[in-house]
Amino acid sequence: MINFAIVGAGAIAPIYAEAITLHPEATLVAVCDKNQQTASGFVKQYSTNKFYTAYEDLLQDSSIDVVCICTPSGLHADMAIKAIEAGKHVIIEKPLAMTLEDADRVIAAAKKFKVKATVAFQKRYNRPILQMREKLEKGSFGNMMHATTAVRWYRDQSYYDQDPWRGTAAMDGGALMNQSIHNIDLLRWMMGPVRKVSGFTATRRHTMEMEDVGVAILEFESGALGIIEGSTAIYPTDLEASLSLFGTKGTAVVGGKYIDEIKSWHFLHEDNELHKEDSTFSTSQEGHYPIIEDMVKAIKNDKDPAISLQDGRNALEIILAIYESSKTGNAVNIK
Amino acid sequence: MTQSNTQYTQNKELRFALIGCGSISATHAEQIHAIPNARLVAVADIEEDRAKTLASKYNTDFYTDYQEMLQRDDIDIVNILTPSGMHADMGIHAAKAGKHIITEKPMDICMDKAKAMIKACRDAGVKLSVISQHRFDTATVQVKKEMDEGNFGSMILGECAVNWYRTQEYYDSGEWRGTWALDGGGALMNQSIHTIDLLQYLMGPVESVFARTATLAHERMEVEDVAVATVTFKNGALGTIVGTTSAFPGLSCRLEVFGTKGSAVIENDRLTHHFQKTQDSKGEWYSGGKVENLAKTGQTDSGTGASDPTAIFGGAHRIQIEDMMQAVTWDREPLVNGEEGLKPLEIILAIYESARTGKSVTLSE
Repeated sequence: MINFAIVGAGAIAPIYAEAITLHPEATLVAVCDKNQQTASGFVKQYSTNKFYTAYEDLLQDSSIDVVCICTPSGLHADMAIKAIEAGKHVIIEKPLAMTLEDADRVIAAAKKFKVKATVAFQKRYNRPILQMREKLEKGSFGNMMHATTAVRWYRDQSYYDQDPWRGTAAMDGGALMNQSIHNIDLLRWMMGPVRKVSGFTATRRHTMEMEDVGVAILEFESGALGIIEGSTAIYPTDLEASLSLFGTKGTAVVGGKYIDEIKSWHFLHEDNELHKEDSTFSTSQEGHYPIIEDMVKAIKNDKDPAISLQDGRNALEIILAIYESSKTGNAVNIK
Repeated sequence: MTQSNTQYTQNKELRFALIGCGSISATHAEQIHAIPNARLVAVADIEEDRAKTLASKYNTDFYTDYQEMLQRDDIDIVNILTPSGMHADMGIHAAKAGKHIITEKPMDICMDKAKAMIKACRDAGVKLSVISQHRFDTATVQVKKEMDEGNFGSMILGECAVNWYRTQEYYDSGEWRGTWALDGGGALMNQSIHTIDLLQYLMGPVESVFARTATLAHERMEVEDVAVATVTFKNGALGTIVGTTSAFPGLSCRLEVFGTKGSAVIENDRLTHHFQKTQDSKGEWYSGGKVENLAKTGQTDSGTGASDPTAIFGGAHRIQIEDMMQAVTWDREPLVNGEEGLKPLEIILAIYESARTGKSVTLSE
């Protein structure tokens, strides 16, 4: 049995708690939140024994194998490093960190203390995305030409007003950093390294520090081109989250509201038939379960988690490049 | 508009001539033929066979020298359907001969020449209409009307995605295709120009573009088969453009516009998603404003050329030709006049410049 703890009993914590509870080889043993009421309420709901209000106390609990970092984004790096230094494995909710320096510090710590560490990019396990990835690895797309990803969602002002950290540069970022990062990870995962990014961000609907709309173009090292579009200002409700890949031999679009439905699927000289039930299956039915499952396996078999901290850094690097490009008006080279 | 057009066109005959008898001439000839009081009197092409074939189908005269055709005094409107890089030169000759002009898109491939054509038409007192038939699609008309009435609020985001497919044979089918000199560009200048025009028509004037282009799927072509761009609009909204002729087997053409109070998605010329607040309310939509999906079925469209350029139907071309007939008779500007035709051209040329320089390009007007 692998023992999990959650730090930060906010909006994302129940998703972790449910996935951990569901897993036969995982147990939720403790929760930490600086607000005692929140922490105690949470443990009651998930019939867990222990809650902590001081993170340091949680980290000294030797029964804990894995810490899930579910605090506001700006706290991820420092809290992850503390857990790693305490010898805990970590699952870090996206984004890995808010700066590349912080990301590098987490990566270095995980290496030094030889713990398992991963970032929650659970959309990678959406069935249509796995099917897309399978086609890519088989070479069915031929040479990649371009790829686009779009997040067209809606968050009302009260979403940003519910916590003081939401929409801030230091703690959250905007529509790209918080909502679109999954799609940006998928784009990077499918298309490989990025050479150059240029983009614009704006805040058009909401009262907040960071962007509620961002657009960018990318040049991949392969020579392929890309577009990123992310918004939380699409009136009046979530419309779409999609990833479209275009190669010389194949085209695939995974869309729907939450990047969980195949919309186009065309491969030259191949059977393009898909079973409906296969093509709409999504992790939205099981949340973070595949992330928990992967961590359990990584610990049991002493192997690296499928999604590395470097993957977390790659997505972050693209988003920070868009922010920088928007500020300077110039394209940003990615090393 | 269609109703009054029909009434009008039943009253007075206007005579047309075509310059260029290539693939798009079939649409023009057919639509002119279908309008009761439009009459096709002559066609011209440097290739006699092509001119002859079209002329015999519609029982018109034919010419291999368009200048000779322009001497006739029984031609009111000349449709210029030659390779893009010839449009302005031919248009200027036609204007000097006193003919009104409908030119296929792009109006030219160079801003200076396009402007010279506008000036020549003004000097000669003739009308100039640049084909952008999708402005007449039901979906476009409906969204434009709602926006003009302020029902979309302030604009946030606009997207134009033309993921089309053209085979190598298509580019090999005409010497001029895929060349800088005559096609003036690739996926953007030839195919995506319609949707780029609609993007700026609905979102408002473009401030700047940042773009990359590449030729990745085709051989023997100078111009791009894929282009990506970010757009900033003068009103502060952002946008993206992707145009390609290498997306096997050809997907839909999508135009999406999002404002603080309304959203619309037009896919293959049809409104597939249109939400907006239909009654005024203070506060957010859920706290009193009624939000309705206004997308309706049964819309006029102009066909999709996703993989087959000949699949572009002529219905909307007809409406634009009728608009020009009205403009000539009532002495008003056509809906898509020369100045309107310049707008997508300027955006596309700015995209090419940005792709060349690697820098953002601000539009001059």
